[in-house]
Amino acid sequence: MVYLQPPDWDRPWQWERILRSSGSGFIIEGNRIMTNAHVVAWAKEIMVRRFQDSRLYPAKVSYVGRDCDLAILTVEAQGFFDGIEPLTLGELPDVRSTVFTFGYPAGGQQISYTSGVVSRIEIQTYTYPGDRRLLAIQTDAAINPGNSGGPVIQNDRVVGVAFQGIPGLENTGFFIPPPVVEHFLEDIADGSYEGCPISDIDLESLHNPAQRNYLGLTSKTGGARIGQLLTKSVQDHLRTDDVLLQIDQWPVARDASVLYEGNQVHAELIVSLAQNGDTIPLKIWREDQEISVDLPVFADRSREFAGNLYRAPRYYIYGGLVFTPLSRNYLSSAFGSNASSQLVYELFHRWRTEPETTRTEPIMLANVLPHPANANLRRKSRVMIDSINGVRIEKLEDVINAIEQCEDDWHTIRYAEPYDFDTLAREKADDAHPAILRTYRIANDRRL
Amino acid sequence: MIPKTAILSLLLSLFFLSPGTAAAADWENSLVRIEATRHTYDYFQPWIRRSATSRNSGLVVGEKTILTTAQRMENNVLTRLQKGGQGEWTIGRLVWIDYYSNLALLTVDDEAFWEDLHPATLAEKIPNSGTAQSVRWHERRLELRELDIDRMKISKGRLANIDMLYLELDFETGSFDRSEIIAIDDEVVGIAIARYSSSSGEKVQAIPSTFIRSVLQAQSESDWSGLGFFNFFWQTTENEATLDQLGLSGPARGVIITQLLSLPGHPDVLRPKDILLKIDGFSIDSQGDYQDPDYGPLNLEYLATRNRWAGDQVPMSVWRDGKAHQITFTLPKFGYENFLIPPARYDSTPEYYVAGGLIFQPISGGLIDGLGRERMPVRIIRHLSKMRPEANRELVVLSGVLPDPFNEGYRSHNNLIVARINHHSITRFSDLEKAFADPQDGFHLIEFTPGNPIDKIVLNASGMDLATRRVMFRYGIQNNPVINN
Repeated sequence: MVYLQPPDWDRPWQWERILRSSGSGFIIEGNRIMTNAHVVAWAKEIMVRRFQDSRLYPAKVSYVGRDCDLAILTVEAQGFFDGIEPLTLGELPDVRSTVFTFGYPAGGQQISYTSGVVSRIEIQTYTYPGDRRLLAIQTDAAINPGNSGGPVIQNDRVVGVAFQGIPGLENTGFFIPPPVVEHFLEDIADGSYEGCPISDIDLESLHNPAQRNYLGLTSKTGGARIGQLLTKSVQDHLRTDDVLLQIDQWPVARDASVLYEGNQVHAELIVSLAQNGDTIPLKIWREDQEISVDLPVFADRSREFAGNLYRAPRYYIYGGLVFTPLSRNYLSSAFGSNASSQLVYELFHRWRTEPETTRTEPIMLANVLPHPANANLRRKSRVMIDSINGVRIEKLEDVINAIEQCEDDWHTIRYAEPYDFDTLAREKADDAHPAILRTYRIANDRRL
Repeated sequence: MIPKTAILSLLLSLFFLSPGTAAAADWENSLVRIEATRHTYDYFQPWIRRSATSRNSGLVVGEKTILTTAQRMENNVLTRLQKGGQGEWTIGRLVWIDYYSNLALLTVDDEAFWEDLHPATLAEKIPNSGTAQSVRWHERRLELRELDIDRMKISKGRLANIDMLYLELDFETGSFDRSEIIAIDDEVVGIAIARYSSSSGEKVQAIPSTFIRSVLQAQSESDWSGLGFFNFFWQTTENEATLDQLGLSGPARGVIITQLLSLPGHPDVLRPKDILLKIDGFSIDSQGDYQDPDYGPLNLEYLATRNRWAGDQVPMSVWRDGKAHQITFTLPKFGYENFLIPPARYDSTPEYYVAGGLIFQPISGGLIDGLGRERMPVRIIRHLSKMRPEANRELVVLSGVLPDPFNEGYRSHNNLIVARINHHSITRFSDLEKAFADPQDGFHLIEFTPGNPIDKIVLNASGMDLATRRVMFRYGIQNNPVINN
């Protein structure tokens, strides 16, 4: 049972109404409960209950894997774990084998058991982070709201964590498979979660005979072309037009897939299963010869705002102007499905097309809290900031510095294209600032 | 092609401009029906040409001259006209069309058609309120319906993203025809171009007769150079602190230039942060309105088309660096070609270049709408409304692939923006021919801009011609490439 309170992304110092939700979880070694990250997202209070026990025990979140949608809970109350044998992880189940799901769909007091077969195993978008594609297993066992976090069992071992369905598709549920769960547990073993690495390589299929000839691949049967290299780290090790022949122990096919445990899945899987900072051995075809490259891989969190976040939004308020980063959560909350292509481009695409002009953290003027000092501002909300007092705004700290270091009589706030602007009289805004915070009951003018 | 001399001779003979000759309301003998057949194109397969037929209203406005809107008159194949609301259709022809003003003129060569037809009068003034009538042929009879004049309003056109003056009327129920005539008593006050819903009910938008008169007069006097526009963005000045900062004391007035849309060959006489105080002698208020002598407060954008044409010199007064300056702004011509992605291309077949099954096209509004705007990736949509950085600059895409053994592995690719072919930069569609004529070591190398799902395609140069011929045969492509230059 979770009492949760998501932030108000437009008014980031405050929170939405308290909601009640429920999910499932299971006990693993070390007196820990595993569940989904989204089950405990924005939780103010988490209560857990054992099967056939009416008592509720307070639990707290120890670790959250935003990208892999997993979380670990602990319960301090004496006796909660008494007499319980923790579940152990099994292997990746075979396609067409039978699995059983356990959980509390739609709440309920009794465990619900369903069975189904493993329909397929491949890379899928994880809906809750929204920006990651990781290994997932599709099953026809019923997975409904409330099942999230529950174990999927085969031969008395956990072979997955139920986590999402696809609206509109019947008999289709997904669970997080053992390799991803193991990765998460291994990651947190050092006391912090870093995340699943991402390659930052555009890996392109290499079917066309002419392209294979061009790359000198006449004697090779597999291999995928390396296209755009998106970070300096990979640019230091690889080149566009390199051909990836093998990643770790897995040969790479022409369609950029590897045969992983009998399942043809995209080679990016191997990167995602490494730990942050690991080095993956690659066999590369470059200039008509095969070479070995050790590629370090990282869980780059600098672009996390392109996915849903589970931490309170950063903000800064000055003179009633509320600045907060543009994020997937903000975009969804403020605009639903009607976000402008300009903001969508800034959030999701610019870093790939124009990396030189990409901002670390695009900043929005989320709101203007009405006060005589700012009453004449033309823009009142939901507009991206280009610069303040001539300083290009790359991140929230730039806003603070530009405003707090200003010695001019006016603050000039320039918005993103078409570059209209507003002017705020500095002295009036300085004077009004404390009163505005009091009026709108804002305890802190910033959360950084 | 329509000979210009023919246009002028027709227009010079118009007599609607002389109020004294206005005929009494005789709609039966001045209103005709137009049936226009046009080519339409499928941008998935741009070599395919289909046709569509639609019916509009037309208004006799002068000797052997019929006025209608430009909508549905593009790519014209056949035009027929009918008088009296029923009976025989007579072949007509388009003598002049302007998509930006959304007006077209037609004539009929058959002398018998003109018997009993009389020009209608285009009103010189339009009231801001009151009642008007819509007039159309409907089910073989002349139908007149009442509408309330709501207001004169500056808004975007239907065929061009240009701010112009429109007559807006309240309309209750029923169907409404494109080009339907709006009249008061015996004078035409507008031609309808659209019906739409707003928060205050159903509306009809019409091109006002005053604008039509000025366009046709400019045409008749060989003075027509097209519509001009203000190639800058501006903001209102209700924020007094901004005016203080820019040193303009006194009551809030004028608007502030925020961004100039530079056009090749057009000097930028304005600067960002100029306060635009007067245009053409009219003072601009802090909301961007001026006091129009005929219609009261109107948005300043109208001053680009209010008896002004492209190339005209417009005096402006601006506040810059703490003092007033008088400048002369030359109105640039509004044209689809000003934009990096031309919003439309009429009266020409879509361009395409099929190479080994790969279909290349210049990006245009037609392509985006044809392939589905909602399916277009943001990497393309974001270029909409950008001006061309230099003359003839175009974006070229690999719009799709026609499956053939030659292009194995590339079939799912579409909407990829081309950067280079065989190391030649592709900055306009006509660059393709030269680029493909220069293969590199036996290969064609097609590179795409950063951010596309793939960055390069390689094809065998030696097999390209054969593959292209095979693809043309299999997919029924008669002409390739089509480059309009």
